[in-house]
Amino acid sequence: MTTSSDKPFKDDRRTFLKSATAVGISLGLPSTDARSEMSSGNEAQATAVDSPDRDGYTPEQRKRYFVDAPGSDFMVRVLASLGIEYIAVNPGASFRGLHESLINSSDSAKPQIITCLHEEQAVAFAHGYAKVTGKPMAVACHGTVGFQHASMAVYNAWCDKVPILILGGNHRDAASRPFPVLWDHSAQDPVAAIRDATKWDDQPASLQHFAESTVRAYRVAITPPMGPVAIAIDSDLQERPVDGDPQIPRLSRVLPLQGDPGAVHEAAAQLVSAEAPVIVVERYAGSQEGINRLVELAELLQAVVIDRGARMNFPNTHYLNQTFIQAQHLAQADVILGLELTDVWGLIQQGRDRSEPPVTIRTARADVRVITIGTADLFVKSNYQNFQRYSCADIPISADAQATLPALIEAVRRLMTPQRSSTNTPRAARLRDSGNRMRAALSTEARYAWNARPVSTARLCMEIWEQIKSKDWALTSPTAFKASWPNKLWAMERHYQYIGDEGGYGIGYGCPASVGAGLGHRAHGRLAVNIQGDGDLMYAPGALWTAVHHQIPLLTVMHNNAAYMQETMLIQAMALQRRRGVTQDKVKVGTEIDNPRIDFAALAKSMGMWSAGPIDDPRELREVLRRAVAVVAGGEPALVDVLCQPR
Amino acid sequence: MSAQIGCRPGARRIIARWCVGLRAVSSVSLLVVCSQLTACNVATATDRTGVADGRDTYVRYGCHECHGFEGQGGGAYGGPRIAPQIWPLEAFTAQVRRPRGSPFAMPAYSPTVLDDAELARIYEYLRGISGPPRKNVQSR
Repeated sequence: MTTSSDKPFKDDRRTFLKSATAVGISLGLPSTDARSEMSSGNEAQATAVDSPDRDGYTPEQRKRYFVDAPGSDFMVRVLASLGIEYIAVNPGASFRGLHESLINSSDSAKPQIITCLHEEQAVAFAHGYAKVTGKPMAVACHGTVGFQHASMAVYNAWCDKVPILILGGNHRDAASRPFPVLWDHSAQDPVAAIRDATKWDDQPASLQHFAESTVRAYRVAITPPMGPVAIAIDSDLQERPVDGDPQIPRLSRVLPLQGDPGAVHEAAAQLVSAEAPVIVVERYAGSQEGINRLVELAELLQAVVIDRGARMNFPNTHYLNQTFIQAQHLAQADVILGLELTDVWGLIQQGRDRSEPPVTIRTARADVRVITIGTADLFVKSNYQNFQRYSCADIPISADAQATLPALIEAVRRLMTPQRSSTNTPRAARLRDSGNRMRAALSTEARYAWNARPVSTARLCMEIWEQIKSKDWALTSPTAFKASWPNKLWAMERHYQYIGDEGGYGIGYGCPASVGAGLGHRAHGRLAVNIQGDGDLMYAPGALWTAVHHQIPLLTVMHNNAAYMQETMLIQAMALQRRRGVTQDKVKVGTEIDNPRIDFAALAKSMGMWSAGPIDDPRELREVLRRAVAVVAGGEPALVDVLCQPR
Repeated sequence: MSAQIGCRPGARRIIARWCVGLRAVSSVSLLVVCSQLTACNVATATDRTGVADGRDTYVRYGCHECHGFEGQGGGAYGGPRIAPQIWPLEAFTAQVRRPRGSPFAMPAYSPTVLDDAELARIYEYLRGISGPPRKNVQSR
């Protein structure tokens, strides 16, 4: 059995073709002999039934009491064939068969169990892991209450276009449910609870069906636009002996879709002729190669790059990265190139909050031309509205942006005239100047409230930076609620140094996703850092235990502002609009996380984690962080609780 | 936990856009406000009861949520820096009472909820905040 499933899910076409050649894949062409493309997954089964019993049981007794080759052993072999290294588990009776096989089956390549204390944490864990490693991991959960618990995290992964293989147990046969609880944990359609946030699902009726559907699901998950997939696994199928000789089909990857050559040429022509081109990038780069290509394109055009921060797309040390003065560039742009955007509408206009009637305000030039390259339109569902407001680009190219960039770069080079190239020098000088001024201004802004108590968010981030900047570090948590200070002040240049945010703004992501990301970084010896909101942590504090239990090194620094601060601001705005009850004693009702103040250091300590704090004096931070980093460098997680300013 | 599924993301997106817009309420737009003012119905600077009282008022009315305890600002999901280089009282008052300059302007603090004397105390607090340390922040 050969797969290329250990490749990053954002493979470029060249890598893909090489690997496809190596394993002899015939792309998109089904074999005339299906058996020839499958390997036996049932080597262990053949000898069991008729051989003499070691404990003296008769064949009838053996059949009554024992199962020698359970179906779930085969299921584990299917997972191993896909190169899945880990499976995040919150235990449940409906997949007890699979669970036992994961522990005791003989397959040496079987996935390792990661124990999670909630299904939502398990899925978020897999979410963070996939964004670091570039490949999906599996999650196992109950098909009913487990799917329901998992649903918010699945939605985040769906919005964030991250592949996860979710397995949910089910007791499909009503005649095989001897206890009431099994009825409570059974469903006609268990995946219904999460279907709106998955790309594909199935409920296989046989092991052969399971093998084919699981391999199919994996391929669907890693084909852009990527996303979570789900397989309901029947308990009888897991627990009964393997019937027949089911085969595991070979995984073949789908070529990342490249943009239409004519449209790419037209896009290049628009960009070359532009006087103020701007590139806006969101869920684009899946590898360092993707970043390097974008740098090449931006330098060719001398185009400003605005990184919306859903991935690490472009070095923030590069002078063309002018994300933090984006409004002025978008207002002046004559051509905007959007790469893997969700909100195209918002490129050129904005709405107004609390406006009656709704107002749309144009923020870009009337004659701006918009080009988009992305996979968002290739797979759309109806219920959840994360597809954003409809907007028609002038040149919309439905394709994988990273796979399309080589062709776009080539087209731009062909169209570059000496006259056009000569404009790059003065343009570069201007942009270097504005980029330098932006960076200087950000450094200056960070100094305000430098000695404040509670600690300013900028000071917190700079104290962390002092401790990690000489190491191979990676930030695992979102930064939007930390005023994006890490993106403003830290030097982010490598593709793994930042992995974006939740995707769907669903809270409870930060800690488990960071622990999952930390697992991905562990293999590379990187120092993983999680700047953790207090409200977010309390959705999923059990993830700290998972980090300790599995010895996942991760530095967690609490940004503890003792509130759901964004919601506090929302209530404040509502009260002000209604001109009543605007003071803190009112607007913090239901939004503060205080009285009592949560002792996060004690919480972490209770789960066996090294911890310190709470700290509200910035002068104490350096030494405490130094000690915490030393703990993490030694292979263990650590938590430092810091009382911080709201933002 | 599951009871909160679905409510928070939408709310966050709204406030996110509002706050992104807030960032656009730059000092430039406030200078425009200042230049357009001819008179303002505000308390005079003589109504002062001290910086500590001003800070209490500043916090009591939630200014720190977006702008920080020392007016340093809160980024895209907060508000702009408003200290220590504070605007003239008239411009400051105009921005608080009738925010403008952005599609996502800050909410208006009417005299009903924040009277002129309280506003003046907040102003005095912000005006009294000293600048940052001179040393450079060694970023990147």
